[in-house]
Amino acid sequence: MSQKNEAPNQPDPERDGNVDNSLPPAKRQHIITAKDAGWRSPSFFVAPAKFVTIDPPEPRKRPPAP
Amino acid sequence: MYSNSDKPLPHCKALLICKQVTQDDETQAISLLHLIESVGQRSIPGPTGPFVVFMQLYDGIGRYRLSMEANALDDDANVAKATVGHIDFPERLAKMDIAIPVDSIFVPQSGRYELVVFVDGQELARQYFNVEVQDVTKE
Repeated sequence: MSQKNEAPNQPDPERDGNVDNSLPPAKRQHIITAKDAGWRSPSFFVAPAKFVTIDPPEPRKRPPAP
Repeated sequence: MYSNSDKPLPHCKALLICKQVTQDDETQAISLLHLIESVGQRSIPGPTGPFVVFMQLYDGIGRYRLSMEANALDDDANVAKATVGHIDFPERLAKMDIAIPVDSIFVPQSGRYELVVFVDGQELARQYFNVEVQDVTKE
């Protein structure tokens, strides 16, 4: 029985099944932060928000019954 | 449902809370990473870590004012509010993906919370999350 010394997190087609090498490396992923405020593309809008603490908390307003 | 100006509210197809939103520089594809169901806190009361609220809206007309609030469900209390600003639908049938980066919310206690999104003062959608004390001995 052959021994394998590969690290367990290395891709191994024999162990993991087919490996899709056609996928591009995930290195062009831009992480969205508050600095990206505004339109990133025609249908993608970034709108940072800052929560203000209500102290003491207020009773929750419930929507009127239909 | 209509806004205060008799304009129909957009439809919300998704409201998700996640750790990170990324966009592929080449394809413009949006990815949501680590959807949040529970927030682990080292100390309570205290601020949560950063997160992103992601929404997908359809069928809006023109400009709407967007705001959010966080409610503690265990004692039915409103604990934080945020005004996000205005969103503009460029055309009637447009789909809008909206990412709302948030630094933190100050949570007074552990338990179940809800995040409610309002458009022109009308509730549009809500999402739930838990806040619990994180066991630092597990790290």
